[in-house]
Amino acid sequence: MIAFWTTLRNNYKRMLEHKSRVILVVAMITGAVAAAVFMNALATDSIGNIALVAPEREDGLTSPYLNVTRLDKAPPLSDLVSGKYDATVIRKASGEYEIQTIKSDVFRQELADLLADPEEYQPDWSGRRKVGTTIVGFLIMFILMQGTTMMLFFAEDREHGQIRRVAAAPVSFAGYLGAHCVYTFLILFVPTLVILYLIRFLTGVAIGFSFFQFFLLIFLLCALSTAFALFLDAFIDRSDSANMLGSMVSILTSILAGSFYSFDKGNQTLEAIIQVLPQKAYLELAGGMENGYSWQELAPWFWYLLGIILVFLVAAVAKTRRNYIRAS
Amino acid sequence: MDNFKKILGMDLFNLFTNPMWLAYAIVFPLVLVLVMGFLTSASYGSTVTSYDYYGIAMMIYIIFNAATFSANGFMEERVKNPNMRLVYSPVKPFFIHFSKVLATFVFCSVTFTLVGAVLYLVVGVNYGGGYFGLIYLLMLLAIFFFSALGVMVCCVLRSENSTNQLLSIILTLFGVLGGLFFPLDGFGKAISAISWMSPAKWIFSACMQIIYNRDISMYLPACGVMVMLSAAAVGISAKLFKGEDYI
Repeated sequence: MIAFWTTLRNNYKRMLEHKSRVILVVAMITGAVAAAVFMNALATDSIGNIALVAPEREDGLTSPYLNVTRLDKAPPLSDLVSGKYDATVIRKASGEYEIQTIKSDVFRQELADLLADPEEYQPDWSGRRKVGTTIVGFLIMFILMQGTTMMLFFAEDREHGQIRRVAAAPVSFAGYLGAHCVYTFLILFVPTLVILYLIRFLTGVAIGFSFFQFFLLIFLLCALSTAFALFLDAFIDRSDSANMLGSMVSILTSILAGSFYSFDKGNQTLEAIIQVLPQKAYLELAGGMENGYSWQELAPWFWYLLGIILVFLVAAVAKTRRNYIRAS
Repeated sequence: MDNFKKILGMDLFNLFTNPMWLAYAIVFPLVLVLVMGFLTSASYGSTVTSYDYYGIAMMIYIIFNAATFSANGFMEERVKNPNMRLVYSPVKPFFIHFSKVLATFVFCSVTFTLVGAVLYLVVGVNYGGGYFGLIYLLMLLAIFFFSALGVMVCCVLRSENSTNQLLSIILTLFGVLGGLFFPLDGFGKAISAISWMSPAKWIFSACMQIIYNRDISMYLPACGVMVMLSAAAVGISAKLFKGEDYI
């Protein structure tokens, strides 16, 4: 216990030596949380942005599901490719619509259905994510990437060799590693949760979950990030390399797991890979919570996540012990 | 000049012999484009594929990493002491930081070209056909700017860790604002206007206009922005670089 508290206090003091670093962390977390919440709030219900080219100004095409920009002539192809418009719709003199798009036939059909009967059209949003899950989805990649950066004191100890002295001293090694984990965890968890709630209460934007649910979800995410960071820093000697590998793995797996958009089509191998990713379990857990599933339905995801966190921690501790503690 | 060549050679050696950086510069972009392209391929038609989009958008995002490479190559633990010795040797201070910019530029240009070539051959990304040279030149200018940016941030903050943190947020912000991950035009006029603050937006728009409209009106402004920003970054580095800060 003494080793734990001493290391924790020491980490805190090291942090204070670099005040700019603390300010940066808080600024970044604020930015990320604000972006996650507001991007979500600004997003509209539309199925796409279209450029409408019609002979007369008043053509009566209005739909809550369509973001219409009226133009005099069709936009260049680059505007379709860069995603400024999802489609160009040209209204002919006969009243028919001609659709030009680079998107799939599924989208073209959807748009055609809407144009045929704008009043009655109802998009199919059965699988659509709700607000809370979208917010935590955005945060996944960010928090995972921050974990490796915030584990820096452990990485520094290893890089500069202080850890050898710790291992040689009569102190608890578990306490020492535990303190690094708790430090990293707290510096991720506290600002994220506080800022989330500040934004919630100051602006009144919907965030989808109750206080307790958010507490639990952010707790799990930060714990996963901490365990992953310890794991990386235990196995990779140079902190720059650990950081880079951490970013690479976090970005790729978060995209694959569908943190930003959920992809319905994939192939089997990829599907199998996605199923084992902790981010996938996390998204399922968040989505289930938001849809009011019972604990029995949520428990498998929860235990799976906890299992992954434990595996990372145990592997990291075992590896560090083997590296530095001589058999007596 | 002989001194400069020696420093540059050493910096290049450092960059090209680090397996993790090679992975970050070659494997990561390839996998990123292929994964994004594959996952979104179902929502694209046959004329323009998802690879055409991500082959440009993600490659621009990857160019940003030049800043991370130059920052790490400049202030990494194992180059700090050699740099320290250079500070006390009769070498122009300008050589010390500018060689990092140039070395990163060479390293990233080589890996970038390799990745682009593989993507072109494997999934047939549209790089503008006959206008390919223009696109390539613009990308190289961008690589140079981001290489210079990384060193500049190091000179301002004087700590590798803070630099890494700050860069990761600036670069992600540039990417999101530039509409590389998802288009921002659906979020209203204000956000569309803000997005022009990101260099990514300039590069991306210029590339799109050349490839799909054969319209080069945005090309020179985009190149101009890159050259001006690069000159500013190198200038600021030279102004702020103080060898003693390494201690």
